[in-house]
Amino acid sequence: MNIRDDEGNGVDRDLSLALRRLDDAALVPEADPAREAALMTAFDAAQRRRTASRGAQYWYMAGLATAAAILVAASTFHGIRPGSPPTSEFVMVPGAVTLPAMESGSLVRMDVPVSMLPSLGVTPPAGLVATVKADLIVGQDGLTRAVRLVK
Amino acid sequence: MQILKIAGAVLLLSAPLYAQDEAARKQAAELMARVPLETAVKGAPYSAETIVDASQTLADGNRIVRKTTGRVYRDGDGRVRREEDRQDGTVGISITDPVAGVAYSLDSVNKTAWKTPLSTAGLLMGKLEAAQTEAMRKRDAEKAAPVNDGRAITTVEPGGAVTMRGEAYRTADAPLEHRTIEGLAVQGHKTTATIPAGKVGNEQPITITSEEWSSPELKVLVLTRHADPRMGESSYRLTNIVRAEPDRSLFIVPSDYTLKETGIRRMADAKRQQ
Repeated sequence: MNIRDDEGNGVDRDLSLALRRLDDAALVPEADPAREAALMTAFDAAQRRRTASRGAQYWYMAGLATAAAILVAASTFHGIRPGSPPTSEFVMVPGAVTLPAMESGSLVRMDVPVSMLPSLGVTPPAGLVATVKADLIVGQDGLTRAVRLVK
Repeated sequence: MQILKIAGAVLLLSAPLYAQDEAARKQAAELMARVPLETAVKGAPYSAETIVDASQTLADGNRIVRKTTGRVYRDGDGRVRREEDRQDGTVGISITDPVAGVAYSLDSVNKTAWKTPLSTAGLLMGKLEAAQTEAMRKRDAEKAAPVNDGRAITTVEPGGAVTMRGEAYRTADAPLEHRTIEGLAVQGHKTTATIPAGKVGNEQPITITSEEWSSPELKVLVLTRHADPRMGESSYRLTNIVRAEPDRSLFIVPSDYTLKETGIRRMADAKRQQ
């Protein structure tokens, strides 16, 4: 055990001497004022760019948020919900083929009892609803030609 | 955090706009805002009274009879004004102006003119005409094998699809002798459609007839009749036909009316973009 301690102390002494010699041999030059000034200028410029970039990102994000908000408001304003069409397609009601020609008429939006839908040739939607909003195309003679559901 | 505040403020500012329009759209639905649909005809002005009669005989022998009167005006440029006398005493008015490219439905109670671009109305009319043409073509093609098999007929167009539910009909078309109605030379034809016994659970064949008389000169339907034992009978006819240019003011929305968009065009555009 002691022998080992002696050996260990000898190694530490050698290492310390070597490091001291290296320290003495190493020459650290004096700081060049011009280089130091240039370095500080470059550092400041980098800081300014970073700050400006953060500001641009800020306004960019604010712009995106504004555009998104306006888009949401505008699309709702016009009854459009992206990805979900507001209406189904028109379906000719049963018997419409036998009706006289339609030279004029009107599209009427109204609440239609679900129980009436099969007679209009439309499958009632799933769920417990009493009425659904539907667009009916009614001819000049007051007879319904086609129907579509308003989702 | 500040970004969230800005977005929140913008949303708050836009909320009243949304609320205002939502109320308008809700009101439109409650008013059952109508979009007039017309086939544009130029160079054949006229005015007339319209009469729609409908009657239905119930199983117990009782009858439901309805009569609706109105007026129609068309100028040389193809503008059309239709008036319908309603049971509540009000008059439903629609104006179709192909020159301006808009159609109006006037709400005389609330002094509101609901406006729809004519392209939308034209698109709807085009779909219906396409569907009817397809039905006629199908019907003609099936004359060799006269009974429709009941499958759905679908026409696909750029604006969407119109699905027509087929029914088991045996149809026959016959021209009618030329005659004069309300001082106009008219030509007509009669369509008879028969649903054979057992096709829809019927013990006896069901016969549906449809008659229509039109004036080639005015390019207008003068008289139509339809009889379906399941629905009853109905007719549409023009009376007191005057072949003269109607008053220009009939085709102008009164200045004390508030214009509002029905929003139908936006829906159509949205569908086309998908």
